[in-house]
Amino acid sequence: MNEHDEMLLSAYLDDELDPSERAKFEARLAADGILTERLQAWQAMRTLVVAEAEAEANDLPVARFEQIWDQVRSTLEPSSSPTVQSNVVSLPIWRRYWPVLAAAAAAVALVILLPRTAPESTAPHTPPAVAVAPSAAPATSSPNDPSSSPPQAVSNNEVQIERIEFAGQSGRIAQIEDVRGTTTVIWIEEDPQPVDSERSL
Amino acid sequence: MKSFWSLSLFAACVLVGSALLPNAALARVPAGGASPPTADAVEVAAVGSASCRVLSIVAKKDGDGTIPPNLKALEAELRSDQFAAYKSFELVEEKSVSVSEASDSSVAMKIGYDVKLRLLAVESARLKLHLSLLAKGGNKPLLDADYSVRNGGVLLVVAGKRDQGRALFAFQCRAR
Repeated sequence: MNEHDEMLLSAYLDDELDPSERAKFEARLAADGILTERLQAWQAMRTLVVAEAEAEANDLPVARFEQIWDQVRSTLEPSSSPTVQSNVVSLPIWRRYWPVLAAAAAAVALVILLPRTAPESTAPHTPPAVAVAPSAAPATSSPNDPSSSPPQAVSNNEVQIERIEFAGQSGRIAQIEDVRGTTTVIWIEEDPQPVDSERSL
Repeated sequence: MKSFWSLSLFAACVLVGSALLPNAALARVPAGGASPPTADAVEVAAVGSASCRVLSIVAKKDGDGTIPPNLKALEAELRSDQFAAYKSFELVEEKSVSVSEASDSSVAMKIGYDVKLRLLAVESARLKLHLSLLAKGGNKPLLDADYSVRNGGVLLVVAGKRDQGRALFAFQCRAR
């Protein structure tokens, strides 16, 4: 007996065959003893299962049966259950889209609030700002390495040092920030023995 | 996952906002230097020559801190923390030199240094220059640098000890 026969058997027991198919299957049953035995076995099993289920159902109180049935129905039809509906909370629009709104507000604030420096500032200012500390110089050549330093690209400054070599002991680059802008200062460290200039001769 | 997209969107908005900033927000405040603080922000044609002023100054650690009138243009720089150790400044010499792209222009300074300048390029209101500073009698430049500066901008170079003080140079060049 194959799988198709088992499907036919199941449909026959459940009365799901149309009249012509039912007639054909009954003809096969009359001719096939094995198929008939299988049908009888299935019928016996079905009778047992139904009897057991009915016995169990008869033991349940009616109220409990209704309760179980309500649970099954609520699982199958969640939209109709008032309990499920009450768990759905609809957030206001601003709470749903707060990340987007926050990002947009931040971008607007950046555009509007960032200071815009005038090209020609003539307003009087307080005394010059603190200069950059010499130790914070971005390009320094060591005493034993007189090779050229990597280019120093300093945005918004007056001077951009593209190549520098110190042949002496060492050197450093510093910057002075004042009301008129940025001034670059290159410090050269020479040999310790001073050389007299022409003025002193 | 939701927070990742929110963060990405925020970053994108920040980038867009930054890109919309006008270039004027990054405009430079013109520096003074050794000349009145007039902005020479005009477009400079590729003329190939410039005129430079070289000032040699002696900075000393004694004095009353007065800036002489001939160095008033550099007062803000000389009073900065960079030169806090020095209490007096004396302009030793000022020389004008024409520089071009053709060759080095040499200037011998009384303070004991030789200066070489060469114009490398003129690029839209900025000059690109080569500067070399040698001590008299030296065979190798103490400083050899290529730099670009705003037309009329100033570069300060502090060299070694001279005349009981420290030699200081100011370089200012303008395109012709």
